[in-house]
Amino acid sequence: MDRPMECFGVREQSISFLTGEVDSRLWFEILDHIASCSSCAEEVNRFQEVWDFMENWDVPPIPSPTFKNNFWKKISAERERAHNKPRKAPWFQWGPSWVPVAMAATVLLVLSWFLFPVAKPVKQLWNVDDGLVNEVLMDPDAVEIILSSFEEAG
Amino acid sequence: MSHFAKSDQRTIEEYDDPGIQLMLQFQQGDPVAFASLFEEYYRPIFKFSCRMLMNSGDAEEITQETFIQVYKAAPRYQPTAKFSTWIYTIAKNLCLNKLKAKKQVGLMETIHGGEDFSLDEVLASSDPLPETELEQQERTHMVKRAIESLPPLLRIPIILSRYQELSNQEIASITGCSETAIKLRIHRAMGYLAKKLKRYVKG
Repeated sequence: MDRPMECFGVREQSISFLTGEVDSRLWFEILDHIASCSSCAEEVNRFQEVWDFMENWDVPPIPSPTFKNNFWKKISAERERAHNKPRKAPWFQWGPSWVPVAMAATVLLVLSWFLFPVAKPVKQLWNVDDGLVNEVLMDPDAVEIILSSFEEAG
Repeated sequence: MSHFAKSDQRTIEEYDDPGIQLMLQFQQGDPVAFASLFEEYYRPIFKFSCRMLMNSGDAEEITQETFIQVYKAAPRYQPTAKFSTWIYTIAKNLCLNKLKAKKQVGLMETIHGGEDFSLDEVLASSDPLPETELEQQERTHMVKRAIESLPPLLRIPIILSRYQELSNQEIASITGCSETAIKLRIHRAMGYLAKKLKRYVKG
């Protein structure tokens, strides 16, 4: 009888079936299934034997006699360490408050660079050499002409 | 006031889990509660570590480290799961770290050369063992070797289920995966063990 889904379901639940972790309804469903499905019955039986055989692996039930003593020494050292932990310097205790302030100031500084660019020098705008600029600025007539041209333009 | 008391209105007595109750008592400054926790849980954690690491010396170290972590975590402890789930999760992580460290320095050498409950040592001892005892030692050794050969992904759920008798739901919480995944991993592990131990089981 081909019942792949049912077999898959039973195999998924086989360990829960062995450990008694399934409810009574599911337990009877599995029991009904393995009564008529030899491959699932074989697997459940095999797992039951392996499960029982695993009982053979025993480990020391308790640790060595010095275990507890060593543990409490470690706890004592941990307490000591926590007690002697150097306290934070007063300025460091401000950490949570001054860190965001510093970050905000940095962000504002960066933004201000883009929002309020520094005026570029005249020589960069018109690409003239220093000597010529000085010569023009030293000539009162030339300054007069430049200023009046700005007034006209404005 | 404890961290727990700030975030949850339940009193200590309202928790059903005795582990949680003791941990909260310890959190509120009762050192006897920590000693009681240790007494209650050190044996299962030690046995779990023994089976994970195959070495009682390492298991002792991991058990101690587990409780030191519990001690250190007390101020920020919040009972979000069963206490046993929480402490097994700590122990499992420490065991995995230990296994990784051992692998780096030569896991095989440590396990086969330094194990303290191996068949080799039993056989090498001067007193001859009665046949039944020898058979028992061999069975122990075979189970141990078969489980040892499982990858941690399969070894952890099978040890927690078979030897620590934890539910699939609890194992799922400890390992951080679904209950279905745990069932399938245990199923895979059992299939593998059945093959490894076929000489000893009839099926």
